Amino acid sequence: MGRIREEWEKIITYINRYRKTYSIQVTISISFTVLSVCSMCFLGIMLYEQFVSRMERTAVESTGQLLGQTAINLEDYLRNMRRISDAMYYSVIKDKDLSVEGLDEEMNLLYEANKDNLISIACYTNDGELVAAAPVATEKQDVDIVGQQWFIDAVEQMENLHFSTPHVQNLFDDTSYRYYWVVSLSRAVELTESGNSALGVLLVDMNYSSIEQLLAKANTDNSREYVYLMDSEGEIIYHPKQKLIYTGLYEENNLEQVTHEDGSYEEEFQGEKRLITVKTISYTGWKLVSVVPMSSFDMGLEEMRYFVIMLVTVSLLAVMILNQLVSARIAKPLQKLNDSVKEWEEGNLNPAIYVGGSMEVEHLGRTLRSTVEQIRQLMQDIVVEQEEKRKSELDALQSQINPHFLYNTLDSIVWMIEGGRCDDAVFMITQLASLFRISLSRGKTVISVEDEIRHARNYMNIQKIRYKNLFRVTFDVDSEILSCCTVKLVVQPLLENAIYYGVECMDGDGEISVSGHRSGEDVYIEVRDNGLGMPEEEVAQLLKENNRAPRHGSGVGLLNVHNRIKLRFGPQYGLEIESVPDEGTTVRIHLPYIPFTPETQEWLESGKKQI
Amino acid sequence: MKKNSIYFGILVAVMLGVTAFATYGMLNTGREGEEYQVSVIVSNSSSDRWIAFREGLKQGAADNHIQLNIVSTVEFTGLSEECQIIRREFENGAKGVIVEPCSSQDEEGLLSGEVSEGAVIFVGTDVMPEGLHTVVMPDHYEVGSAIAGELLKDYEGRTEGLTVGILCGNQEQLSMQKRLSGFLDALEGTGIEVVWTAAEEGDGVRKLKSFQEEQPAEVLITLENDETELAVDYLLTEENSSCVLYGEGCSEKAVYYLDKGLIQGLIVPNEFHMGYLSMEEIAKQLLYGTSPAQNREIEFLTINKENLYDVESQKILFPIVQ
Repeated sequence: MGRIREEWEKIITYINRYRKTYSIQVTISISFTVLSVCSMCFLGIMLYEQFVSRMERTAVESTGQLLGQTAINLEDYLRNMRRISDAMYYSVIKDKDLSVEGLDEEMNLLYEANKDNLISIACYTNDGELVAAAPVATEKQDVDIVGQQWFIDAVEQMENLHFSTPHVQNLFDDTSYRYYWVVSLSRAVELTESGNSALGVLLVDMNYSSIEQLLAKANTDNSREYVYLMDSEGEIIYHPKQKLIYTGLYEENNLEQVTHEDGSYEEEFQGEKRLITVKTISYTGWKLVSVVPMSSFDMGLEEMRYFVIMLVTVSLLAVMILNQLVSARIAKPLQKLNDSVKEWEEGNLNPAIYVGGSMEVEHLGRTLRSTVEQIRQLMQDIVVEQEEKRKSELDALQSQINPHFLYNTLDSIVWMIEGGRCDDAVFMITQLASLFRISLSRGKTVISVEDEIRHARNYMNIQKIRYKNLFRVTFDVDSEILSCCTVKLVVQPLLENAIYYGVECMDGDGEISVSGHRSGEDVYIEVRDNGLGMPEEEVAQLLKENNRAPRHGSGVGLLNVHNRIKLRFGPQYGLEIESVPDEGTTVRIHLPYIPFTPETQEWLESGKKQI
Repeated sequence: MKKNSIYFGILVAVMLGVTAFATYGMLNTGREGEEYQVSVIVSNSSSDRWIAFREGLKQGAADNHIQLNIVSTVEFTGLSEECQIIRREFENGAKGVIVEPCSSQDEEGLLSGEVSEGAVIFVGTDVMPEGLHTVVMPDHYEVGSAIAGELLKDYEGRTEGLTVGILCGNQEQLSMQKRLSGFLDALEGTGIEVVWTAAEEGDGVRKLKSFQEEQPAEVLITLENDETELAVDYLLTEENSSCVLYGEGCSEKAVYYLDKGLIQGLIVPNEFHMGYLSMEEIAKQLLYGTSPAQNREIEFLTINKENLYDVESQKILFPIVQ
């Protein structure tokens, strides 16, 4: 049992190793086609076998009928001959005394009445002397009558009628040189002459042509089937190829067939299988034999064989095409659905999901479409949520600036007012108002570089007052970039840093310059100071998240600006810092060149898409 | 998918091929092959001597699906006349001819030219040079020897000084030449004297009479059927003649007079076999285009009054269909 299981597993493994994954259409098509081929072949073979069997049965029956009919005709003929003999004997010979009257008249009458089937009627004495004959003919000289087989048979078995095999009649002289093939019916008769009985022989020579014609009718068919006649010893009486047999050009299995009783037999003769049907003829013991070569069935079946092949192939062709169509009809919607899924897999979040085909596939399509829709909605929700979160973060960052700056400025203004510097305070408040106007920018976070620079100027004006012109500020911004977009309040924190970390400690030598230019599709705004600068390691730490702790102020600075730019325009943008200790620091704002229009502002404001 | 379409296309093409093959087979099943027409040209075709030959031809034609046409002819006057008939038969659509050449001397190449048109079988005799065509015939030399054998058997011990006149038929035919030489060779050293030898002559019985008057022969020898019948006619006119006759023949008349005792011995070639075999041979030529030239020999019977009605003799001598 275990061994069988092992073998089975081996087979399964082997199959699995070579099994491929096919498309549903191919699988359906191949399965149906294999099934169809098997079914059609099975049906074709069964149909053919049925036909063969029926045809053989019909052929056997037909042969039997033909043989039966031929036997009846032959028996009729022979019965008629017997009647002639009986009539001649019982009605004529027995009633006559040959010394008183002859047999000629009655014999001639009988002959004339049956001359189509007869060659002659003759009566001989026991010594072979002719008593009477019809038609009247000259007897041959020196003919040994008593030595002829028909005479011998009649004398040896007097109680019987004897039918001879066909032979050439050797009794009468025919000056037209004609010789007749006859079948002799002979019997012993009792002749009366002068009251004395003597043995005689009555001979009725039947025309062999009549028998031949009778049997030739059974052999008119062009098939290789034939009927022949032999006597009880197997001597051929009639055969369609009789002359060929006599000449030795054809052979018949008559000596074996004569041993058969009536019925059908199969035999093999000279390498050929044949169906033999034997029928014994009454009175004579002759045997009528029908020979049907088995190959003749094949000849008859050849057409049927071709027909079955044609039928099977046409049906297969039709079934295959139908299979193809049906499988395509089943598989196509699934394939389309699969294509939709593939499209979805490839990243198209809004694929055209196929809905169609059969009810089940349509349902699948609808479900998938609904699922995709739901997933997309979920993803959109996540995006919106994330955007909201980002905006919240931006807003939070934004809101970190305003209180910080406001605190410083208001502190300065308070300080000015306390110092009696009202004009300065007014100027400062004016600048502050301008600064807030820009800061507010109607709630927008994206403004033009021009506004941003103005905002920076306002801021520096405020700071210069606050720091009593402790440093100098120069602005050199290309007018080309004034009309492009920027995140608001990005310059001001840099200026703030430049003041606090650059020039705050310098006594009047501090310089802060703001410049801006365009380079290709990029915009650069630089804030440079000539302050203390910082080492490279410190620069590297400035824009890192974990270095948010400021040395001064509220803690809002470079990282804030850097993150805001990156959040708005993408990771490739932001701040770049260069610093040399004791020489100064340059902070460069890297922005994309996006012309400032209400549309681009709205687009960037939406924050849905980074550049 | 494309691969599958190709496989499907191949399968459909195979199916269509099988269907076409089966349809062709079905339409052509049972259709007999081409039935060739074969003409048979023998001298005096309506003569009784051809009965068995015709029967053999008919059986052979039926067995080999050949359309048989036995051309009605009278006695040929020469090879050119026979060649004209052959040409006409080919022109009329015969694919092959079975010919009994009336002469074996074809110096002008008339016969060779005509028979090159199609399949040909010679029966009865070959033409010079020998061996170029298939010939169906008995061994003529043996036929001559067999006639002599019958004579010597009947005259055993009494041959010395026996006079013989020979009607040696158409000596333009190789067959007759061979029969004559076979006969003469067999007589050598027997003391039998051949007093005259007459080739086929137009003025039959009268000529024979003149030969007999000039040099009476005790035994007449005939080497072919027509000569045998001629000799029979001569003997019938000479009621008191003690002349006996040995010869070759297969006509009913020859058999009849053998039966009557006028002919002492008769050599009968199996002409049924000759007819059947010649048809079989020409069928081979027509079917296969060509077949090697060969002599197909047929047997002959030696018949006399004693064995005329033997079962085996009857089967060969007497036509079944009267």
